[in-house]
Amino acid sequence: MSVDNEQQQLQSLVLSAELNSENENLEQLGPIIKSIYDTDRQEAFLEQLAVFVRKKEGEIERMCNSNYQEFVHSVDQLLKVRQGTVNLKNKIIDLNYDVQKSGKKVAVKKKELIQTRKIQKNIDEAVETLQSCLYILDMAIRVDNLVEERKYYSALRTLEELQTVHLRKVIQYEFAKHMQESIPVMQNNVKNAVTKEMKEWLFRVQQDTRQVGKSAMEQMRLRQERWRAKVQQNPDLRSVAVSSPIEMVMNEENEFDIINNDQVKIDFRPLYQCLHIHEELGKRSEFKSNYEEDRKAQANLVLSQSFTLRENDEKGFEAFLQEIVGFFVIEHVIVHSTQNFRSQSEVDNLWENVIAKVVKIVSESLDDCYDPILFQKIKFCLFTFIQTLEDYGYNVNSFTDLILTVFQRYSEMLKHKFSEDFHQTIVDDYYMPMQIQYPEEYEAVADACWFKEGDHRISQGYPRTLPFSQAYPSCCLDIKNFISQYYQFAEDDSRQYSYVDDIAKQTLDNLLIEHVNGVLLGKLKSTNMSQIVQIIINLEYFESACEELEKLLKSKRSSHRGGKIQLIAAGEFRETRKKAEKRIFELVNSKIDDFLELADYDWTPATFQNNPSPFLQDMVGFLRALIGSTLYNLPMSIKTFINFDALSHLATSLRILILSPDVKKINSNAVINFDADVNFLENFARSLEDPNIVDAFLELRQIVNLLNSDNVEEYLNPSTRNKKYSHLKPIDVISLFDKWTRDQSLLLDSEARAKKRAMESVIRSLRSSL
Amino acid sequence: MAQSKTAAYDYLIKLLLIGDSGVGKSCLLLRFSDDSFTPSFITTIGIDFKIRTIELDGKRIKLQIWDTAGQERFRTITTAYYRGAMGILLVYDVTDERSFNNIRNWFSNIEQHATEGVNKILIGNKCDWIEKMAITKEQGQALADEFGIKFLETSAKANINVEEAFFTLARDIKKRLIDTHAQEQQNTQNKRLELENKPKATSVGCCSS
Repeated sequence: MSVDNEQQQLQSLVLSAELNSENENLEQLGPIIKSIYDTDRQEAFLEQLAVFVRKKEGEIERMCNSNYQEFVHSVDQLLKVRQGTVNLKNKIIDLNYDVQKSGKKVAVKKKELIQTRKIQKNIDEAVETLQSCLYILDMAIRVDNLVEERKYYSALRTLEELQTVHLRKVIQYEFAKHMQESIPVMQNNVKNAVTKEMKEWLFRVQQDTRQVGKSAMEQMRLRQERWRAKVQQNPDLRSVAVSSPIEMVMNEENEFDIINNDQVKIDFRPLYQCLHIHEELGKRSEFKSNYEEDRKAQANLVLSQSFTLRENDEKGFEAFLQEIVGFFVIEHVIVHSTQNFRSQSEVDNLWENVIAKVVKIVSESLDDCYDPILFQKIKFCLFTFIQTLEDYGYNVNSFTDLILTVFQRYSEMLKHKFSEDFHQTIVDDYYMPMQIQYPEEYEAVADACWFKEGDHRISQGYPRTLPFSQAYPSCCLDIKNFISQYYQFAEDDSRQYSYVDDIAKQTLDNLLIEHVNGVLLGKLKSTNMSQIVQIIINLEYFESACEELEKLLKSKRSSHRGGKIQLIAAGEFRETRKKAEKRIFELVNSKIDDFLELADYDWTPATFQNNPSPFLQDMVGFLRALIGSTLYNLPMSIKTFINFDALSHLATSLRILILSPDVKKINSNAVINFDADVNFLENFARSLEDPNIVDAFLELRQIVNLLNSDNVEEYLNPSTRNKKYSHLKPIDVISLFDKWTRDQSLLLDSEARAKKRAMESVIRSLRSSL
Repeated sequence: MAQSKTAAYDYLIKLLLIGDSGVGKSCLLLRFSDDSFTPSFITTIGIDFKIRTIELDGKRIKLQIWDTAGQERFRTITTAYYRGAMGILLVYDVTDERSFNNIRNWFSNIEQHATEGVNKILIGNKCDWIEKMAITKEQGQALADEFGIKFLETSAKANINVEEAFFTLARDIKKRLIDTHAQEQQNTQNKRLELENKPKATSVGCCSS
C-alpha cells in the first residue's frame, strides 16, 4: 500500500463519519478500524485524524469570524427578548391571579347551578307523576260522569283502561293502590246505576203492562172480527181457527207493533244495557236470577189484584187479564230479543204458575156470578185472553179445564134460570087446549114449537084451539132461548171444543127430564082428568119436539162432528106418557068404582024392571060426557084403550058382583034386570064405534044367556059350550046355578022346576069332573 | 062397592055445583071430599063428580056431588045434570062481581032445567081473600033472601064453612025428601024425586037423556 492511498481512505472515512455521524456508517467503521489494526498503522490514522480536526477547527474559526457581529446582535436581541419575557411572565402571573380569583366564583355558581338543576329535575318528575295521577283522577271522574250520563259501557271501558293502562304506571303510589282497590267499587257503582235504571224501567214497564195487554187483546179482537168477516165470505174457512197458519197467511193486516204504537212505547234499552253491563262484568247469571225474581214478584203483584164478578164488575176482571197478557207479551219480546238471558223454559215455568193461579182465581170468582150477560162478557174476555196468549206462543192447554168450568157453570146457571122458567110455566099452566085469537099469534106459536097441522085445519077460523096447552109452546120457546143463549155463549170458541156440544145436550136433556118431564110426572098425582089428558097431549108434543131439538142441536154443533144426537128426554117423555095413560085408566076406573059403590042390586026382586039400573044410567051418561069432553082431545088409539079398559073393569066388577059369595040367591027377575043392564052396556059399547069394545061384556052376556037358557044342560055339550059359553068357567057356572037353585022363595012353575033340575044335574056333572 | 043388600049407605043424595068459571066449585068439592086444597087454574072440562058419605040423624047418606064446568061451551053437557040433582049449590066468587051478577042467570037456568022444588043454597066463595072482597056478605044475603034460599060465605082455601054448606044443603034435602016422604013411599012414581031409598031400590037416573 501506498501512503496516499491510505490518506484517501482516511479522509473518506472521516468525511463519511462527519456526514453520517448519526448513521449506520459506523458499521463501515468497524471494518476500517479493523484494517488499520491489521496494518498497524494507528499512528498514521491518528495523525490523519488530528490533521482533520485542525482543518475543521480552522473552518469553525473562520465561520465564527464571519458571523461575529450577527452573533453580538443576536445576543443583544436575546437579552432584550429576555427582558420582555420577564415582563410577560409577570403579566401572566398577574393574569393568572385574576383568573384564579374569578374562577372560584364561577365554581360556586356552578355548584349552585347543579343543585338547582337537581331540584328542577325533581320538580319535573313530580309534575309528571302528578299529571298522570290527575289523569287517573280525571278518568275516575269521567267514569262517574259517564255513569251519570248513562253511558255505562263507556264508563266500564274507561274503568278498564284506567286499571290496565294508567294505574299500572303509578302503581307504586299509595294513591294508586287505593284507586286500584276502588275499581271494583266503581264497577259496582256502574252496575248499581245500570240496575237502578233497569228497575225504574221495570217499574215503568209494569205500569205499561196493562196497556200492552189491552192493545194485544184489542188487536186479537179485531183480528177475530176480520177473520169472521172473511169466513162469512168464504164458508169453507169455517173450521180454520184464528192463529192457525192459514189464518195468519190470509189475514194480512195482522201487523201491529205491540210495544211501539200510539198507545204505548216501550224502549227495552235499559234492559239490554243492563244485561250488556252485567255481561261485561261477568255477572250475567246474577242479573239473570235477579231479573227472574223481579218478574216473579211482578207476576205475583198482578195475581194479587182483587176483583169481583159479583156486582157486574167485569172491568176489574178484564184489567186483570190485560195485565197478565201484557206481562207475557213483554216476556215474549224479551225472550226473542235477547240471547242466553230469558229462556223460554223459565218463562214457561212462570207461565204455568200464573196460569194455575189464574184458573183458580177465575173459577173461584165465577162461583159468585149469576148474571148470564156478565158471564158472556167474562167468557168473551177469557177467549180473547187465551187466543191472544196462544198467538204469542204460550201453551194454553191448561185453560181447557177452565173453559170447561166456565161452560159448566154457565150451563148450570142457564139451567137454573130456565128451570125456574120451566117450572113456573108448567105450574102456571091451565092445562087447557090453547086458544088462539089471531093469525099472527098462531104463526108465532106454530113457529115456536114446530107445530104443523094437517091441511084440513089450516082453513079453520079464529079463535081456534090447538091441541096442546100454553105450557108447551112456552117451554119450546124457553128451550130455544136456552140453546141459542148457550151457543151464543159458545160462539167465540174457535177451537170448537166438543164438550160445548156435550154440555148443551146434557143440560138440555137434564132440563127436559127434570124440569119438564119431572114436573109433569109429579102432576100425575092429580085426580083431575082433564089435566092428565092435557099432560098426555103435551107429552106427545114434547116427545116429537125432541126430534126437532135434536135437529136444532145438530145444526148448532161444531161442524166437524158427526154422529147422532139423541136426547134421552124423548124416551122419558114416552115413559111418562105411558104412566099418564095408565093414570087416566086408574082415574076412569075409580069413577066407575064410585058408581059401583052406588050399585044396589036386589037379586031376588018380586018383579022385574024395564029400565037398566039408575047407577048404570048415571055411569054411562058420565062416561059419554067424559069421552065427549074431557077425553075428547086424546088420540083415538088412547081413547079406544081407555074405553076398553074402563068397560072391561066395569064388566069384571059386575061379574064379581054377581058371583060374590055374599049373593046367596038369584031369581029370574034379577036375571032379567041384570040382562037389561048388560044390554044397556052392550048398546053403549056398540055406540062407541069400536066393534071390539063390546067384547068386554062377553062373559056377562054368556052368564045372562046361560041363566036365561031353556036348556042349561047345553053347557055340558063341549061344542055348544065352545060356541056359546066359551068364557064361562065351570066353577062359576056351579056358583051361579047354586045361587039360582037356592032361591026357594019363588013359586016354581013346572018349567022352572025342570030348569032347576037341569041346573042341579049340570052342577053335579061339573062337580064330578072337577 | 055396594054389595047386594048390605050396601054401605041408607040414602043417596045428588048435589050439583054451578056458577061461573073460576069461582072455585072444584076447590070446594075437593075440600069437602078429600079435605085438600091445591091452588090451580085448571078448569073443569065437562063434568066431574065426587062421592062422600056423611051421617045425618043416624042415617048413612051418600052424597054424589056433581061438579060442572062453568064455561059456556060445556053448557049442553052440564045442563043435563040439573034434572037429576036434589040440591044445587050456586057458587060465586066474592072477589068477582061479575060472578055474583051472573048468579041470576044460573038461578034462571035452575028454574028452567032442574026439578021443581030442588033445594038450593047460595055460596060466596073465597071469603078469606078480604082485601079483594068485591061483594059484601050483606049483598050475598040480600040476594039469597030474594031467592028465598040459604046463604053462606065459604073459603075452600081456608076451609071456612065448606062442611056447613054441604051439610046444610044435605040436611034440607033429607028433610024435604026422606023425612016427609018416609011415610008415603008409594009416591016414588014421582020421577023427579031422585031419591034412592034403599029398601025400595028405587032410583031414577039423572042423565037418562
